[in-house]
Amino acid sequence: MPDHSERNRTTSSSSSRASAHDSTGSGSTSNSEMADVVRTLNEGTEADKEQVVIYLTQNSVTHHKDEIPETLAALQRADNQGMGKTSMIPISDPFKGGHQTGQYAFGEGTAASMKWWHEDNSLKDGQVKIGEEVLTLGPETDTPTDAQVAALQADWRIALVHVGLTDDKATEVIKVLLKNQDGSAKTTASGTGASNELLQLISVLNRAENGEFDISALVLSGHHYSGTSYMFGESGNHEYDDDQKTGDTLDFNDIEVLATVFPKAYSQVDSVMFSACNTHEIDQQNADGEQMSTPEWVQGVFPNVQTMSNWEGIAPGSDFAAFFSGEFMLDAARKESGDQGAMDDAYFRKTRIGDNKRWETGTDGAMTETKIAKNTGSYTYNDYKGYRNTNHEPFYKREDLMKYVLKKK
Amino acid sequence: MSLTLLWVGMALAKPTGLDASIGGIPADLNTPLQSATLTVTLDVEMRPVDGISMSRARKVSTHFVLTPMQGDPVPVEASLVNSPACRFRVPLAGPWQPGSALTVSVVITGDSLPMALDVQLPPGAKPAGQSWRLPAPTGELILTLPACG
Repeated sequence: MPDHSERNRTTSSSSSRASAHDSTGSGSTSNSEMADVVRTLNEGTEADKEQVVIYLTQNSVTHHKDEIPETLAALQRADNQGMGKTSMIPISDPFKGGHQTGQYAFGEGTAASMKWWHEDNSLKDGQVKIGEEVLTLGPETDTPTDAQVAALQADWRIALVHVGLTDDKATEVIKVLLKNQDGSAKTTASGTGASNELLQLISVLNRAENGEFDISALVLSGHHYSGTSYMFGESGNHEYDDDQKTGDTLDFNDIEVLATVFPKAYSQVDSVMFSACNTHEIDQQNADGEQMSTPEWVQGVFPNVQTMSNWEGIAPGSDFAAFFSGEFMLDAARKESGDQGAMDDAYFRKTRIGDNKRWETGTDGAMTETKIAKNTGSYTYNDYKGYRNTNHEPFYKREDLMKYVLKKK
Repeated sequence: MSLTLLWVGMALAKPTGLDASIGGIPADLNTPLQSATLTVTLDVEMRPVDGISMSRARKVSTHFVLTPMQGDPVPVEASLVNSPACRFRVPLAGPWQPGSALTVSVVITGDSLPMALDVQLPPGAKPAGQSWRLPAPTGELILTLPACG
């Protein structure tokens, strides 16, 4: 049986994590390092901060009704069992039904001041209207002109500052996302349709970097083709929105380069979960151009990651993937509470056409695959209703689960 | 004279592996269509995998009865057996005439599903008893199995 002892997160303080990341060469100046130390001293350790799961889903058609509520129910269960409260910030396109997540990433006021293309027919894909100003955050075609690409930088800067980044941070983001190494302009690696999710993610990373909360886990969910570097969404009729330049494609390369801009936020991440098909092959290369495995990439990007989950083969639909997400998140909470064997067994391990893999960082620093024993006591099936005890009820209609969705104050 | 066409659909699984396409109205059907009925039968099996009951489709079949402007009704059938897919797409495009309509029925046989089958019809479809009525058919009928892995 899992150990449900009380969570003790003081063993890995923010200050020790910052040191670990700095040793990898984040490029921080001595002034900013000093500022970090001062901020850490003022804000205390990780144990004092709100713990947050970032749940980024490219698939907005179903996740609000199954994966997200089940994961929230797992967080609720961990809290009720004395493992401490962890909240969630969901990131998505507007869900089918209209609920939007910008309010959680940007805050209600800022989100309300922005009209995206989903909600204003006068806008094109990748555009957002702030006041009377229309910003273009992604190209309209697969072959944008140099002038169009260069113009993206100015619009991204306005959007980044609008959602809370300083001018300096906005400059850093533009440097890694929208410039080549020679300084010439480029588009984001992610597609136009993912520009809103990308802006939400950056806003959340910026808040974590500034000490507002700690990111305990990052979930990346959506469709994924084997051997590609991006996850993608679908439109309401289950048509895949997978054009790499203009589609709803979120690229792992963008997630990677943002680590240099938000090193503290990335160093906070304990767990990474890929809830997507074929995420054992994500087309990432090391400095020598050699293919990296998914755990190698995850460790390179998130220096303090302890646990990781991905799919070899086909992941189930969101209704069934909900159980895998919930169980992984509950087991991650158990492990952080001191149960070092929490990842070693699971109720949900595989389907007919895919294996859910778990990986853990050992005392030697290497991330190795966990051999998972079957344990039906590790989670619940509950006649297909899981711990949320409902089928297909959106999370935002569940008052009890909404207590675990972090709202920006 | 009635004409019977037997058209066996091939699974066109997309790279993520969830989807299969089945049946549809043959491209070489030149007769303008006035109306039609479509019955999709999905025979479900709940089979344990790693101790968890998961759904799969033992057989999915489509049966169109197409009513041309002239001549006798034309039945068109297709089926998939033991498909690993979790989502089944039935193309609805055809030589439809203005004012034409398609009546769609979905029949589930076999084991009980833990949650309702997700039936997605193109915009404009309206319930008609236990069926749906779709004017000016186009697009696809999409059936998604729950608890399918």
